[in-house]
Amino acid sequence: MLGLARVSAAQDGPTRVIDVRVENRRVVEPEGSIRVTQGDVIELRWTSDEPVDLHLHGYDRELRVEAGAPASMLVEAFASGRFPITSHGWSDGGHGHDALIFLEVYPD
Amino acid sequence: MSAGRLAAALAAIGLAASARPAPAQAHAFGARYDLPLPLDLYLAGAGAAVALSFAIMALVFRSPAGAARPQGIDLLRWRPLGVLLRPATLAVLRSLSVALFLLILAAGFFGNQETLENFAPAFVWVIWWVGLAYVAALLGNVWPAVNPWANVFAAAEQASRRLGLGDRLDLGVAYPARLAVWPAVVLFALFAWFELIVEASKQPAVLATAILVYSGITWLGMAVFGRAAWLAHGEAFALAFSVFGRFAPLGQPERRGGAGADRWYLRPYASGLVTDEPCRPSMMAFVLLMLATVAVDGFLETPLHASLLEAIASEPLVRPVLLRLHDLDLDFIAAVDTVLLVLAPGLFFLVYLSFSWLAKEMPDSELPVMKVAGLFVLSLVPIAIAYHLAHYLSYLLIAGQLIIPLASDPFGVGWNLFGTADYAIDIAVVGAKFVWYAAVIAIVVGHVFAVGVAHFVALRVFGSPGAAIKSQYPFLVLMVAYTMLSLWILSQPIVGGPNLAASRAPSGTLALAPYEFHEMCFELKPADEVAFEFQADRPIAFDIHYHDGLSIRYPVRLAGLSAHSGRFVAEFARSYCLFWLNRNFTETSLTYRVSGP
Repeated sequence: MLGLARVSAAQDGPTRVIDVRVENRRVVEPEGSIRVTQGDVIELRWTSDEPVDLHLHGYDRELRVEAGAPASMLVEAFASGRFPITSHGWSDGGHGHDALIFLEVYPD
Repeated sequence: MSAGRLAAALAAIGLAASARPAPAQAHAFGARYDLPLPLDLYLAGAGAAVALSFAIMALVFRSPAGAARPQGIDLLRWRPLGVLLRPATLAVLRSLSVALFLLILAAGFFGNQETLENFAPAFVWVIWWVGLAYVAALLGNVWPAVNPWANVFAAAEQASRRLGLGDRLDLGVAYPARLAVWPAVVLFALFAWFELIVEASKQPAVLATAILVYSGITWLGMAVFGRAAWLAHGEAFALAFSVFGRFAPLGQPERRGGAGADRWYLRPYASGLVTDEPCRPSMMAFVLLMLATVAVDGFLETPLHASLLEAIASEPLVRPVLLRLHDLDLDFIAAVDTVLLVLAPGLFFLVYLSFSWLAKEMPDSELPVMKVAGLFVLSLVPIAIAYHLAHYLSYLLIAGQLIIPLASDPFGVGWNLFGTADYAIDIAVVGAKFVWYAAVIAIVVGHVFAVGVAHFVALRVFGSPGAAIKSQYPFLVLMVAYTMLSLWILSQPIVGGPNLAASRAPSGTLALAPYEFHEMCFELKPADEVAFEFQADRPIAFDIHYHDGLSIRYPVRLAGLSAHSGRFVAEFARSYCLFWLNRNFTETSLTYRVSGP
C-alpha cells in the first residue's frame, strides 16, 4: 500500500509472552524478576485469585486483574532499568510499597 | 485543569497516545530504576582500582619529598571572569536564591500536597541536594553565593544599616572555640536522619516545616555569633558543600571564619583535599559522618538490609519490642534504620582511627594518631564523591526531569507558566550501559584520586619516600575496602524493603510464636463492613483498632478467646486494623478468615 507509515513494532505482536501468576497476594510464577532485553515487546499475562490493581512503575502502566480471568499488559521495553510492579488496594498494615515483582530490562 | 486531567480528557477523545501517562507520574518520587552493576564490571573496577594503586605507589618512589602543593591560577586575573563576579552579578544571584527559597516554602505549605505535583520536594531533594553536590564537587562550591539563609540574613543586615538601626544584627558573642564545628555535625546528622529514614520528608508540608525549623536554628545562630562565624561552624550545608568543593577545580582559599572570600583559583582536581593543617576532631567527625551517611543511603536499598530486618523481626527476644513499637504507632523499620544510622558513623570512625594508628606505627612515626587521622581524612572524600555520583546519576537525569513540568506549575494547581506543564518524563534518557560504565569509571577515578592525595600528603608529612610508603600500606587497604564497598552497593539489586507481614492472604492458618502478632488493615469508609472469624488452639487476644493521632482507639477488644466471629461496621473513614496477639509462652496456631468491604 502506498504511503504506509512505518508500522510500530507493537503492532506485529509481542516478541515474548510472560505468564505471571498471583496467589495469596504473592507472585508464585515466575520466580525472581522478569528479565527482558531492551527493545523487546512483551506481553505480561496476569492471573490472580483475587482482584488486584497493578502498577508498573517507570513505564507507568496500570492494569486491573479480576479473580480467575487473565489480563494482559503489553509493554514495549524501550527503556532499560529495574522497574517494580506494585499492587494497589492491599493494605498490609504499614508499608504498602512492597513490589510484587520486578521487571528488569537489560541493554542489548 | 491539572495536567493529569488534561491528559485524561485528551485520551478520552482519542487525541493522545493511548498509554501516555500523566506527566509527572511515570516516576514514583525517590525511586531509582537502576539495574545492578554486572559482576564482570564490578570485578574489572575492583581490579583496576588495586592495580592503579600500586602504580601510584611506584611513582612515589621517584618523586622528591615535600612537593609543593599546587596553588592554582588566580582566576580573577582573567578579565571575563572578573566581570562575571562583579558585585552586581552576585546581587542578582543572591536575590534569585532568596526568591527560590520563598517559592519552595510557599509551594510546600500552600501547594498541592501530592509529592509529584509540588515544586518543593523535587527541587530540594533532586536539584538542590543531589544536583548542587554534583556542581560543588565537579565545578566548584557555589553554595556561599546561593545560600538563602546567609543571603536573607545579609539582606536584613543591609536593611538595618540603611535604616540606621546599626551595622550588625548579631549579639556579637564570640564563638566558643571549643564548640568547633560540632553544631554542624549534629545538624547534618539530623538532616541525614530526616532524609533517609523519615518517609514523610518527601511530603511538601513536612519538608517546608523542616526547612522553617532549620532556618530558625540557622538565623538564631547567626544572630548570636554573627553570620560569618555561624556559617563557618554551624551551617551544616555550608560545611558539606565545602567538603565536596575541595575536590573541585574551582576553589577559594581556606580562611578561618571566612564566608565567601573573593578570590577564586583554578587548580587540579582534588588538590584542595591536600592539607597542611590536620582537621580538628569535629571536622574529622563531620567528614566521616558524610562518608557514613552516603554509604548507609546505598545500604538501605540492598537485599542484605531487607534480610537483616526480617531476621531481627523474627528474633523471639524482639517480639515484645515490636509490640511496644506497634502500640506507640512507631515504625519498626524506621527504628532499626535509625540505630543503623547512629552506628555507621561510629563504625567508620573506629575503623578509620585504627588504620590511622597503623599508618603511623608502620613508619615508626612520633606523630600523634589524631594528627595523622586529621591529615588523611580528606583523602577519602573522592571515593565518597565518586560513589555519590555513580549512585545518583540516572536519578538526577530521570527524576530531575520532574522540575520541567513543575517549573510551570509549582503549586500543582493547573498553571502553565512556561508552557512545559505537560512534559512527560523520558525514562530512557540515559541507558543502563552508560550508567554502568560511568559508575565504574567514576569509582576507579575517585579511588585513584584518593590514593594520590594520600600519597601526596604522606610525602609532606613523613619526609622520606620510604616512610611515606610504609604509612600508606594501611590506608591503601582501607581505600580498597571502601571502594569495594561502593562497588558492592552498586552491584546490588534495589529492593523496596523487607516483607514483614506474616501473611497478606484473606484467609489461612498461621503459627504465632510467643508474643507474635498478626495484623490486617483496611481503609474503610463509614458504614463499610468487615466480616471475620477465627479459631486458635489456645486463648489469644483479639482487637480491632485505629490510630487517632498519637493514641489508639479500640472499638473491639477481647482477650482469652479460642474462637470468635462477627461483623464490624466502620464508624469513621480511616484505616482499621484487625489484630491477633498470642500472649501465651508457647506457639499457637491461628486459623482465620476475613472478608473486607
